[in-house]
Amino acid sequence: MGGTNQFPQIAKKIGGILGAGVIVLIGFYLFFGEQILYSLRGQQVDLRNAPRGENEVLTIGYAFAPQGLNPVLFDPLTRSALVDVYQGLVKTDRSLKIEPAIAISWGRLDDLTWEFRLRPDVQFHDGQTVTPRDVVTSIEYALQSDESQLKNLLNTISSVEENGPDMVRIKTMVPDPLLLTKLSVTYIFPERYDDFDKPVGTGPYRLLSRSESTIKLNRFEDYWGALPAFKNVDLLFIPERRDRIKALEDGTIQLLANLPPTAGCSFNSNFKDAEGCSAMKTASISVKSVPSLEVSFLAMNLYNDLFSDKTVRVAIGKSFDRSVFVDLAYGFARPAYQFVSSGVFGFDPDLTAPDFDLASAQADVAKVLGDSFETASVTFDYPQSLESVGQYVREQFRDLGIDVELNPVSDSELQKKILSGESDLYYLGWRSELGDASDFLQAVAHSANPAKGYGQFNGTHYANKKVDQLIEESAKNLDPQTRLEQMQEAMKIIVQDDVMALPLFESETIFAFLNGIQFEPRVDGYVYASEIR
Amino acid sequence: MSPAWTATCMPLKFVKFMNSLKTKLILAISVLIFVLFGVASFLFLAEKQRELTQDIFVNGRSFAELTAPEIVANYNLYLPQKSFVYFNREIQSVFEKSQDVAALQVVSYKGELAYDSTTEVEKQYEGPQRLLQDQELLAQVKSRNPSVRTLDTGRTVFLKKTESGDIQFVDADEQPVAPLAADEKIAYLVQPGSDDFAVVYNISYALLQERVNQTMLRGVLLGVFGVGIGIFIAFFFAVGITNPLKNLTAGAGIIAKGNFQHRVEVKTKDELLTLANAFNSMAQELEISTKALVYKERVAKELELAAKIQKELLPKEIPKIEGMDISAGLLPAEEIGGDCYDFIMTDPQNLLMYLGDVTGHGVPSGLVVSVANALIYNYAGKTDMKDLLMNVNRILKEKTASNMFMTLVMLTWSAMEKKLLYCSAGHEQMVHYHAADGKVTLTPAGGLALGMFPTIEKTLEVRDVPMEKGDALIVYSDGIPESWKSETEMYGMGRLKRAVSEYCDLPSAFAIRNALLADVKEFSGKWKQMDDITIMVLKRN
Repeated sequence: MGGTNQFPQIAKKIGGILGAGVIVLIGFYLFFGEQILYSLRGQQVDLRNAPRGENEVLTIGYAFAPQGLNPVLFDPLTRSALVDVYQGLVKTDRSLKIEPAIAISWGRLDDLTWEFRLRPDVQFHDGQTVTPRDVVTSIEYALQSDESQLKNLLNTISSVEENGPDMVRIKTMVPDPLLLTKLSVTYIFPERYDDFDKPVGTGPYRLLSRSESTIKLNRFEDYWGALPAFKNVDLLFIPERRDRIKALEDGTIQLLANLPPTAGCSFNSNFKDAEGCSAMKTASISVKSVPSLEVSFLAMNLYNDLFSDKTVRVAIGKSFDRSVFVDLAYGFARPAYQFVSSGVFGFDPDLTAPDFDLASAQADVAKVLGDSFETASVTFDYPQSLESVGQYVREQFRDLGIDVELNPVSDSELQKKILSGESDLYYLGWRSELGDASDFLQAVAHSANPAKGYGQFNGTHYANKKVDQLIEESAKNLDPQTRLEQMQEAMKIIVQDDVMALPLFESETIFAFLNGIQFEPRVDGYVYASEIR
Repeated sequence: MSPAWTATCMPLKFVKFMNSLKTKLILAISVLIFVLFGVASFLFLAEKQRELTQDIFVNGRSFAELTAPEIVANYNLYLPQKSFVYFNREIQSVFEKSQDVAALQVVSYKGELAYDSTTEVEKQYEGPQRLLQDQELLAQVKSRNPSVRTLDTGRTVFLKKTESGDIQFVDADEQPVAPLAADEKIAYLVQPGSDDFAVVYNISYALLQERVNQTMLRGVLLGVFGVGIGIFIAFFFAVGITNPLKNLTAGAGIIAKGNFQHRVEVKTKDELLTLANAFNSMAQELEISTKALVYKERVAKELELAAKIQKELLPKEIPKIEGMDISAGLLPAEEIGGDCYDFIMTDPQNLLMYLGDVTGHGVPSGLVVSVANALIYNYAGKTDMKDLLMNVNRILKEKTASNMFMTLVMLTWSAMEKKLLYCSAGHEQMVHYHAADGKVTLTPAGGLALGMFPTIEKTLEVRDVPMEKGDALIVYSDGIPESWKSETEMYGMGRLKRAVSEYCDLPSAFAIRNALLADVKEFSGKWKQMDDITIMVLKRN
């Protein structure tokens, strides 16, 4: 009897205590909850991005591994590996809006002088605090190093100076409206830095190890900003297209940075039944595509006897039916008729497809050939991965009576050929990742002028004083309207008047990812592991 | 605890629970708090909603006014040139400035939708011209005044700014219309940005809803909190009442079982304390009266026993002796009497008799009687009457309280000598019936009551009562003459003498005794007997 009576007594007591506890908690929440919530919300920046388990690894698949890890390289392969490791004075969000990074604030003292104040608590991955000296060294290295691919981008900078314990002053030769955007891709590294293969940056991830097929990244716990969600990130390099897709399908990689259109077509209702479209297991995979801001074009070496004749170049322009690329890319590309894609500042909507006239093109080429050559033969250097493009170019040239010898090469080899200026005919994809045509114009269209940092990728030996002048003017023009007009005029000359090269198509970047992760593509096409949750 | 037990007892338990004072108090207070909080929260919520709605409208209006020219300028700069990347960047930064704008559209004056933030996220729209079908929206776009479309009623209201900067609610022709109510939500707001374009801002009330929800949650929590606190207060309040009541109930149970020492402790200082005090004093009274009752019962039992013992002390048989017929009787007024009589055969020819009356009656008198009986018994036959009485007097004086004394008359009958002697120690005069002439006389009085003075030698006198054949001597205690009929009338010596003369010719002492007692009883009727009545009848034969 005692037992049966005691039980409800104890239950009542426990119930009473629990009830009182709940009431006290509610009261606590009501009277102090607001402050707690606000203080939590304050930390939420940190908390929000770190909900993943300690052992969860984010794996991102790429086709090719970067050749080097030098922070002054500006090719997409290197950059893809380094975006989370290094940072510039400023960074861009996914719409390319400028945000503070190593610099906490900045401003313009006059048209040519910028002042940046460094964030006080930024550490390099080796634990050292970032000093103005590091910033100056890094920018000067990017300006001067032989390896630097940022030279032309930064060619407006005349000097970088320390100014006190936390200030850096950058002077430009001309007013530069794009300086901040340029600085967002100019990485900062420690002053005394000897081995770029072991990167030391300030980004949210540090490089743990690197092999042929893998780069392992590890969250930098002393990062100054919001810590990313994943503690470990693996970048897997899988050259074979089928292997990449298989890795995505079986979950070995969670995100594929460039899904080939042959697989992406599975997600495009117009093309999924098209020939050559290999169906994917799409149940647990999502796809997002954004304009890549990349235009692929055929560049013709003007030192080549055949291409030095403008008649030939114009004829080629008239004979190329670029609408085929829409089908070749299963809807993820469209024909291009200028060197920057639509969406990029500097794009000229008035530049449309030239009249297609194969007959007159054939006649024009025949005339030139008959005058000077018996047979015409050129070598086409293009990336191994774009077999269909090679075939297409050969066919198009054959229609004009020009033999094309296909020379598929690796990306780095192609780059070497272009920079040497020895390739007759090559394929180049240029991504205007700043959203602005200026970097293309300065690096590719401007006549080569290493001293001033122009024409670094001008492998065609194209030179036009008017164009050079327009490009240089536009680079220092602070009024967007007239700057746009200058760039559009330059674009019109190189596309229509001089036919410097032959724009082929602008493509979309297709990202495929497992449904378990949250991913939004960036306008510049890079994948920031720190933005994935 | 079997299921059956639970099934049958739970409803009972529940009924008991519902009928408890505690539950009623808790329920009442909870309902009160709940209603109060409910009403307060509802009013507060409505007010807050109105306020926020108004805020969103005002903020949206100024936001539109400030940003529309900028948006149109950005549009003009970037979109016709297909610089969507830059345009999007600018639009994103516009969105970042307001949390209440969900989407925006740029519409040209002629009604072409130039940009729509909901559909053009990654890239610019390309395709056929998109013309507005909504004529009302078109009118809004074409107006120089900003305008809104209400969410619920779909009403279009134009906002005209007066010279003083106030807002007037007008229609498309700038005629006044009913103003927007403070809590009227708007679907979108159209703001002219230039001569060519207007910007349509879609207003989102998600934030408002979130804040309202938050407030609602807080209201609910506050209600729960209040009810919780109420329950606790009510609980403690109710416990303050029911616990003393429980104590009282338990106390009553304990007292009912006979533990009168139990006291109920109540710590409150209200009416309950009064009740508890009353209860405690009741218990105290109850204890006293019950103790008294027990004592009385015990005493009654003891008195009964004592009476029995005293009865034993009276002679069971009256000795037969030649020449004298003797009868005696004693009617005590209470259990214990102060009268006594006894017959002691000192030798076969001599009989010692006495009749005594201790002052008062009851236990003290009874005790003295016992002592006297024992003493007389002890001295009987060893000495003469005078000496015997002196001895008894001495001892009684010594051993009894000073206010206790005893009148006594002692007689001896010598069968051989046919002689009746007596010695009175302050006792009533005996009544002598002379059979020869039927006269009634009183024997001379004499002596002092025993136990009054240390020595009474000089007052004691042994006298002779000449008893002729048929004579009778009535020895009695004062209970007979002092037998009351009413508060004013008693039996008295006169009536006694008359009775003696009337009845003493009866043949036996026993008959005389009965007749006399009957006469006394008849006289006093139902009036309470105040004193012991003792009578001894000696009839000479």
